[in-house]
Amino acid sequence: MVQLRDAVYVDGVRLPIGRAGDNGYYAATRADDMVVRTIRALLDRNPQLDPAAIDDNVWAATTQQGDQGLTIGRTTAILAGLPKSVPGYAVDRMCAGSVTSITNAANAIRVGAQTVVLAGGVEHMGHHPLAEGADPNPRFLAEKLVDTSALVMGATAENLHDELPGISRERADAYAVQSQERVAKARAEGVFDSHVVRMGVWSEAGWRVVTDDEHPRPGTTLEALAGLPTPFRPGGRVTAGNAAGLNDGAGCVLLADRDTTAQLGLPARMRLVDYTFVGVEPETMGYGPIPATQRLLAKTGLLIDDLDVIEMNEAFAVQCVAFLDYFGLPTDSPKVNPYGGAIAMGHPLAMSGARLTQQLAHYLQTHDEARYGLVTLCVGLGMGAAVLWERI
Amino acid sequence: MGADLNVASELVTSCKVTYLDSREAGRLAILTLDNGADHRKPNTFGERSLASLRAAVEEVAAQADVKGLLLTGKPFVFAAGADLGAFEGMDEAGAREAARRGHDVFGRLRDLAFPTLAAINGVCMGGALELALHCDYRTLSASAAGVAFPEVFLSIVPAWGGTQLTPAIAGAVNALTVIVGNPLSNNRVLRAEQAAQLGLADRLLPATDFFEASLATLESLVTGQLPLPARDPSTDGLDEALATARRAADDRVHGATRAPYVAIDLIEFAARGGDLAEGLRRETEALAELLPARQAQAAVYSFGLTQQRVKRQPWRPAAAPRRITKVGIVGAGLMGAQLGALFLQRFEVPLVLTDIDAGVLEQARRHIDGELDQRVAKGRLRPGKADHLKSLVTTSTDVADHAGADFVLEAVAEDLGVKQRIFGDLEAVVDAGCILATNTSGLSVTAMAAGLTLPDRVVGFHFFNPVAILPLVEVVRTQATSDEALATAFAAATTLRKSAVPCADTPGFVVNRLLTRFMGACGQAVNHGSGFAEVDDATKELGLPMGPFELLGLVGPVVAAHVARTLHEAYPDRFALDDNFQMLASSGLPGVYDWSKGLVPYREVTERWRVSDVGVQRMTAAEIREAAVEAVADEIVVMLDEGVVADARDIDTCLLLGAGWPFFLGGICKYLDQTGVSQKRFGRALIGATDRAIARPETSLPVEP
Repeated sequence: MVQLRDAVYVDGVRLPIGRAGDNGYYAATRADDMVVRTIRALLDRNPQLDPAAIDDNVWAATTQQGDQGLTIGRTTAILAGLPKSVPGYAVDRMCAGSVTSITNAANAIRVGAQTVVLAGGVEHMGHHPLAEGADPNPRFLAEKLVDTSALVMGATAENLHDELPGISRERADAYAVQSQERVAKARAEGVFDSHVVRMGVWSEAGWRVVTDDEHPRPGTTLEALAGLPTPFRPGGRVTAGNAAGLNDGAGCVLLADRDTTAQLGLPARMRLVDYTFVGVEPETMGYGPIPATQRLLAKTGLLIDDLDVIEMNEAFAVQCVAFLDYFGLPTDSPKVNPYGGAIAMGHPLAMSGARLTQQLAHYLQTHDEARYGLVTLCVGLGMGAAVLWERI
Repeated sequence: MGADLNVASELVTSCKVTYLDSREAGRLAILTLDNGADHRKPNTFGERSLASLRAAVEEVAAQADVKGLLLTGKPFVFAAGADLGAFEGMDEAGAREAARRGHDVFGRLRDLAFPTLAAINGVCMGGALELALHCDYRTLSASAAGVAFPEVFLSIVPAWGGTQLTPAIAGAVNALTVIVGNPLSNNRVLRAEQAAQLGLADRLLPATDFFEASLATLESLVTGQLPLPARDPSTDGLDEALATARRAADDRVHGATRAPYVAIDLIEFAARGGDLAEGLRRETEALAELLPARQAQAAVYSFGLTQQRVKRQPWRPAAAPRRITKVGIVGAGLMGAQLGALFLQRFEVPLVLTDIDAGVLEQARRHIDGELDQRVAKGRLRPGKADHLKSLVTTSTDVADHAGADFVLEAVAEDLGVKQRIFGDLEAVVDAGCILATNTSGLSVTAMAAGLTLPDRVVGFHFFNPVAILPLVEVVRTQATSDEALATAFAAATTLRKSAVPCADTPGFVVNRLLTRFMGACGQAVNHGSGFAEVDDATKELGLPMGPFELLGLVGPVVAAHVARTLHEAYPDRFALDDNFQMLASSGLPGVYDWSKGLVPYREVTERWRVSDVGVQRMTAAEIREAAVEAVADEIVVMLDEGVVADARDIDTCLLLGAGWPFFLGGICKYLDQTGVSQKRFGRALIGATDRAIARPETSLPVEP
């Protein structure tokens, strides 16, 4: 096997996550402008990097039309004022969009094709509701390729509850409360200051500056959650309170060849060790992180206990609890989502992988004893993603 | 000053306030100017907008913990200045109140106890620039569309502190440039980097993250990391700059409007260390004098004509214009070559230039190539694109090469027979839908089309020399001209970025007819013993950019004499055939003045110019002016009766855009109405409220009653 170079995480930033909808932070802000803001902020933070040295600008978005269309990696390279010589492209793996941007970019670096790459993800769910403009092939249902519930994410979460009777609504709600509490604590401790950048946004009230995530509801109680309706099924278990929200956000990371970072005077914070993407049954897509992680551990010869921190996307509490149960971890494991997750912070689909990666980097940087960290997500239509990083 | 005349009532610019708790700098206020419309309607300041700004500033001032303020505009626009709609008919008291109100509100902002920053994110004109100058610091987006003080162009002065603060912040020399020099140079507007260079902004920032970078700049000012810039503008060269500015004002307006002189005085007062409060008081008095005066009122009127009425083309028929994919120009002389270069660069379609003289064609091609090469040299055109454009040009001595053209414009010498023959030849080779246009300066378009099978395709399309500079095209519709041909002419003018005014097929159309009448009166003055320069000076005191005899050198005596003859034939009573002009035309001289010596007539001209018999009084300057203006006024009344244009406003538009007559005269009709000449001579005002039908005479030559 050829000797691969090390692709390392240099830095990353994201915008405060907004609520989708007319009253959200970004209601009057274009998705591509949000991307541009993260690119500019990342360049501002790393003035030693000559923008002309950037080899590619890789951006994920689930809906690739309107302000997320026209090959958003290229449009935003131009809009951000990068030299015209910097190319860009767009990728899509739904919720694992920016994770795919990152692994693609890392691979280009690892094989020596590229050296410095921007990779990110954006989703403006206010402008682009889930599955906007999608036209699923009738064969999916006619040939029973997938269950009718497979295209409705909340329904897949209910399916997961069906298969895992040990995960009650109460356990899911308790997990959700924990997510809110951890986010509130991390915010108070300034964890997000390391990678959240403010943005001036237009609104009917004039320009305003958004600095903090809009989605968290600190002080959420079990009692309050217990009263929420179950929109996906009468008498179901999945509620707005134990699932991620509909959100707008953009996040970007800067990756580089490890040897080159030294020459350019850039920090090298963690290296990408390996990754997996797997497919699972679409109607229970929330299983995804389990086989993805399992396979990645098998490939790398590591055990779950070797992982010092896991940043898992919280599409649904049931999916997270299923993962914890499967790997024999307690529901309140301090090493899984130590800063809380998407149930509190929100989940702008293709953006979330960048956020998870940034939080993982922060954890590894602030915990000297830590070595390995994992980013994992479930993905619509039945997929799982897992990326293993090692602290430098 | 503002850009919005079309709103009868003020479109209120709200001043909205949000707050940010900045970790570094504490609580910051963000003031946004927003009139609620998109970028095509820029923010402006009328009475209610200023009240909104005042309320916002008071709100911020009342907060105990605010540490800094950022003032910016809605997306792409900072603000375009005062609401021009309020200027019309404003009296002295109203003007004084408007100035005082601005001083009061802006002064309140200026007096805030913490750093204030104007983040100029887009177009910033007049009163908006003054507002920005009241802040402690200015950031300017590199892509801001225009920064300027257009007040003097409108015959007023910046009166919300602009004349006093600009010298203090940018220096007196730069203040003279932006407040006086630029408005008098065709109302020149600064690009962002030029404005920053002149000291109107402290920091030029990329547009990409302009808001965030401006915010960070404010934080640095609040924390003291960035000191407030010391303002100690130099007064070096002040005397010379003031003298130059006053001379330049004389050259441009010849004393006909007070605005530039008053502005220079105000700047001088500030530059010589004048007290700010006293300076602002003088600004107020200046506005109270200037705004109600006829010059400013006429300028606002002119602005409305050229920026709105003519651009909207209210006369354009609903018919779809023909799509132009190939253009032809017949006649490759000086005019044809200029037209070729213009059509080529604006339409970017194949262009065929024909002429009977291969040498002339070669010259025309060199002219076009030269224009393109110049743009390449200035970095405004890519070399590859220039080569492509050059490759679109075909020159030929064969009219048949116009086959396939959609629009052919003839620009040959003024000979009706020749033009008729050319149109006949063209009709034999072009498609039935091809528009045939003529650039004739005065011949009958109807007569030109008379022999054609399809006379409805013919339209007059009259440019002014120099084509690249004068924005007017007179569009002439005959009795036969089809709606499609007319619509195509209007659409073509838009593509060419020219202002099209429709007029009837009457001799000399609008501009040449009036200038010839004007020239006739001026020639009379010379015939009565006045010198050429004396007559030029007398008329320039109206504020004209040049006198009639200077203009004659530009137009050429041959062309002028030809137009004069055409008009004489049509209207012998009012357009006498002056032998002196016919003599000049046949002399071969380029005009009356020998330019190599300045405004000195050729000896040959003075010797051969026949002055009238004894007993005729030599006219005073005032008499010359009066006679010239009255001649023009008389002709306008006849033209309105004939239905040459839809309204007197269109005559004014033609004089503003085709003859360069000043905004503060309002072309001329506004002046005639304002000064009572119309009322006295004709018992009515010339400018109407509604448009009337433009005449479409059946015969080419109107018969004198």
